[in-house]
Amino acid sequence: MPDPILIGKALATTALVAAVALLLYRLLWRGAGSGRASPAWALSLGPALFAGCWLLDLRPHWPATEALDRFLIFVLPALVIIEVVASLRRFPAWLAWLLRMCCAAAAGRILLHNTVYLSDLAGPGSSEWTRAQSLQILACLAAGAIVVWVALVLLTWHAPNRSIPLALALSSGAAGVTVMLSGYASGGQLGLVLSAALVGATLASFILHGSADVTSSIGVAVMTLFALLLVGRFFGELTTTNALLLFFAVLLCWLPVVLPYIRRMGPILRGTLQVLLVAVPVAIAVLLARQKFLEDFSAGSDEPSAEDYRGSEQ
Amino acid sequence: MCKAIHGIVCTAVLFLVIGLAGNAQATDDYTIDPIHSGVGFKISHVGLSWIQGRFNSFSGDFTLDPDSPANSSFSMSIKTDSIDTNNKGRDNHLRSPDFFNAKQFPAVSFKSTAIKPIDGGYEVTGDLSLHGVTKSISFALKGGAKAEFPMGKFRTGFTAEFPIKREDFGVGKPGNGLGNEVLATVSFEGVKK
Repeated sequence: MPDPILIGKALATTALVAAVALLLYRLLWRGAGSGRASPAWALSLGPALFAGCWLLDLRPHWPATEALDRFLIFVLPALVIIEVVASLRRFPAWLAWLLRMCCAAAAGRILLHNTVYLSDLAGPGSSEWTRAQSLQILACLAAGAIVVWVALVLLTWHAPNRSIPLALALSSGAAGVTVMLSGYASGGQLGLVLSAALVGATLASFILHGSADVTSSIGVAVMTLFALLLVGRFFGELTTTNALLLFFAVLLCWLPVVLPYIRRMGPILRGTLQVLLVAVPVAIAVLLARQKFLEDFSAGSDEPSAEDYRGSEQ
Repeated sequence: MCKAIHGIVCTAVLFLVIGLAGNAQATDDYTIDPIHSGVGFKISHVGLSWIQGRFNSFSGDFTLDPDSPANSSFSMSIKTDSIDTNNKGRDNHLRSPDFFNAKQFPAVSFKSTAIKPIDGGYEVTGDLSLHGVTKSISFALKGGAKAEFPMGKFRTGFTAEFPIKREDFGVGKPGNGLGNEVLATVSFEGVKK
């Protein structure tokens, strides 16, 4: 059982690290990134996620044999580096997007590396997916990650608002709880850490003048949420329905921007509505996971059937 | 005369080779009968009670050499996702990366490296691979009585009980109300091939 006091301390530290990192960046490089998306949020979320994971004993191990190790060692640093590189004035925008897409496309393959899904761990031909199935599933995963990433970046360009990181914080916090309820208690804590980091950075951004340039937070947050849900789905017992609800819920942030009447509302009201809209599918996912959790813990193991004994007759 | 001696020597060598070959084939090969075998474990919970569990899917082979026990060997493979502690929620948690990480490490395997006869069985030393970690362990394997059941099927059986420190294999984190030491019980029958 996760220790609630330890989790509380770790989340407070994560939020603090994210806030301090964001303020420090803006203090030290006041004019940096002008004309391009600032990497401040990515540079704030990256260290905060590492700090939170470290405090919760989710430290990456080498060799990186487990999915969470591979996420923290390969995927997360790559996301932060890409956002930093993308903010350089002379770096071509198309190349930055190509790197982002490559990272999104590769993440699923990296996380599922050397598992029963892709590898013949129990002898030749024992992998659960055929080569064609693997390609299809990995392509679908990559497409899902790219769609959400691009859609949210376009939204920040179209209607910049701090409600987007807050909606992502809500989704990731709920995803953390759902993954914990789905049999992977320590893995789910990554969602809570991401949520705390996003809330910490958002609160700190209120101190800063001007509109919040949250573009660089999208990649880190979306791909961390993606990794968490993938790990919960393929290594824990997270259902596909809950994974889809939690991952695509943030797309509802587009609704108040495109719907007539609502789009004329002030940014605060529209932002609140965005967060509330995201809360609906997210709450459904948590409730479904809680119901399954209660059912699983109240039931014994699956009863054996006559089929289970048929082998003994041979 | 010389040819006759040469012939006798060649015949003797031939018999010796045949005899040695026959002796080498004196080992008995068995396949573990999963219906009459079990792999169980128990672990202390908060120091108050023992939680018992088992693995429902496993396979293995062993070879016994009565004349030269050191030539005997045992191997077994257990599917980690077949864990069963009579609670679906707990079983799901045990399969997750918090414990066995069954999708990343689908099997627990054991392969003997040294066998020594002891009173009532063998002392078996071998490599246990669990959760991506391989360590050498030793235990007393008691049994070895033989039976023909049903008619025409020759079988023998053994039982072993030994402790494993789960933290040595990175299975679960320290504490959490669970003891570090897991008492494993393996009891199996092998059917002669």
